[in-house]
Amino acid sequence: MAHLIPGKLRVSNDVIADLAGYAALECYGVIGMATTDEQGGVARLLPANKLRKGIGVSSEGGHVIVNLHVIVEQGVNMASVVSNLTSSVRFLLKQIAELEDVEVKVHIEGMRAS
Amino acid sequence: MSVANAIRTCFPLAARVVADRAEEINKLNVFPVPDGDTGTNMSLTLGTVVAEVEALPASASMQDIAKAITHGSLMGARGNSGVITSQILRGIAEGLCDIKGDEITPADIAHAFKRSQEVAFQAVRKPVEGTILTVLRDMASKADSLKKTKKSVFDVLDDLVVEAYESVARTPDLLPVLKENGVVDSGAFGFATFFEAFVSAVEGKAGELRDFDPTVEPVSAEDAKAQVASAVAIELNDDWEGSEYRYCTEFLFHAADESFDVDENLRFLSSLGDCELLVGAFPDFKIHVHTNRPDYVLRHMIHRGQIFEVFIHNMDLEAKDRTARIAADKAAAEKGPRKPLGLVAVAAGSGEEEILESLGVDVCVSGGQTMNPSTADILAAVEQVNADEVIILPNNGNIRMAAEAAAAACDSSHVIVVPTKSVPQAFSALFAIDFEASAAENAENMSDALSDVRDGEVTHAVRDSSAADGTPIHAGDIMGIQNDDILVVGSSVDQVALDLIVRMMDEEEGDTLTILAGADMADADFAALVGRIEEAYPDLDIESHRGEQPLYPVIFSIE
Repeated sequence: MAHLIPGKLRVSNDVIADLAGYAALECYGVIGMATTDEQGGVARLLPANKLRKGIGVSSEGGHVIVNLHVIVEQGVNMASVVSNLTSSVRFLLKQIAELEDVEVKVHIEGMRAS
Repeated sequence: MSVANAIRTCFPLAARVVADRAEEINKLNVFPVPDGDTGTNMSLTLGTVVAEVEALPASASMQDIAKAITHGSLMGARGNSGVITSQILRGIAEGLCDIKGDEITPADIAHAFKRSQEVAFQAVRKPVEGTILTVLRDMASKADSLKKTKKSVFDVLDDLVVEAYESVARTPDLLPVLKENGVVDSGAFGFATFFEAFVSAVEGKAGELRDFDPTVEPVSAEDAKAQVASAVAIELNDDWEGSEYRYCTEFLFHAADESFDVDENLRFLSSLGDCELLVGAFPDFKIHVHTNRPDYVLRHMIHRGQIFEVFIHNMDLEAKDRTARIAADKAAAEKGPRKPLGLVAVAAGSGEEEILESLGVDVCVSGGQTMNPSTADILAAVEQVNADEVIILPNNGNIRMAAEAAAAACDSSHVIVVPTKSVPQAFSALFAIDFEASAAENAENMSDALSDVRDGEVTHAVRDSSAADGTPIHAGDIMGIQNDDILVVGSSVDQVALDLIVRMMDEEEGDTLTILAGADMADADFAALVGRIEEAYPDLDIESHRGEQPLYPVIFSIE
């Protein structure tokens, strides 16, 4: 039986990052999350268990900003992929964490040619 | 005519079929974001390809076509389905470039699909099953199993169409969100539609495509297609609202002779209604039109061939049914579903209401010391909750009578009043709630929880009077009140609140203090007060909130 459970729901930024990373992995055209080498400036693909390193989450009041650093497949329409990724992340966060006011910033750190 | 030319001619025809069905595909869109744009995105993506392909001369090589497809679909890709489609098309086009000789063989088709699968799957880290990608993979493995067959290329293509639809029909089993919504994946369906339209365009012009083996025996494949198509039956767009035409008319048509002119007949259909569609290849066509005169349509067509499988739906009636159903659903939703146990509480400020609602109260009635809600107000709130049993928390001694009267007057629910005297008391009571238990049990538990709670209020004196111990009080003084007795009198809210807490703690030590700031209490002052209390009682567990209640700068409870 679905009852209103008394209390408040707090979602930590790490969880938001995990959710966003999960949405990103399923997004068509996105190869994975990336971390950038500070010195060399070279983007490196992150393994699936370290996705958080490629995602920054900050919030102010109810406004959440999600920064995603991604690597995309070469030869896909990047504008479309970015817009798909943005809407997937916003939709997932709304569904699961009930966050309404989410701003998603996608940074394409690299392309993979195969 | 070569493979390149076949694609150049048939691709635009297939793209047009997808564009015609875009609205139907849009309706299926529930994944990954239910924004209802898959069909539109797909047809826009294909449209850019068509523009580039049609610009090529008839002598264009397969390499030119592949370039046009790759470039067009890359530039035009819109939405998820569009991006995936662009990769699929690029892979197939690349695969077809490798064909040696003029004739295309089943092995070439398998090779093209294999390449397409590679290209399409490398662009995603975690492919989701039950989407276009699944359909593509199923088609690729079907093509692979047929690469050494003795069947003609047309038969192989027909088999692939069947496989595509079967795979589409399986998508709801793979992706639960589709099953929930009772649809197949929109992108997958769109892609199967495109492929089927492409194949039938290729076969319908068999006479011109001499490079292909012309011995086609499509009957069995057609039957299978029809069966599978019925498994993925889609509600046709006969529930469109606001159409000026009443009848959705659909039938199959077999043209009597070659003089049948598709364009002329389409013009005739459009003169009688909208959403007209005449698809297929001579001599078999499917006709669909929204019109007020299905009799004219049938009479016109019957002079030009045979008609069969006629379906006529009255969209007006269906739309009315649907409107009525939606209205009924909406009415039910507004009242909220009937619950076993509901809660009504009286609150004096917006902050109090917010906290009470977060603790499980369904409806808050505004009220308080000087603005007692009427019995009717409370009764209305009880009705609004729409529950079998309702517990009322009056949160003030003065409101208890009105609440009891409302409880007695209510005949739609069994109502119990738990006589809370303040909002902090209500908080303690609400922590004792068990939504699975009956109202009577809950009322008992809540009353038990209340017996340990003592509360205090701090307010301004509005006229001269005297305190419990006889201290004179002047208008404007600050008073600390417990149980209707004025125990502390002073000039600052801070000091009075602290003194009152000290007196109550001396009387009996508590372990939790719940304190609410009134509307007139500034955040900084409130924080300072809480700080002083913490200093005085480091072991006390302090819950501080903004209650925004009027008149009382501070109310609190100790338990």
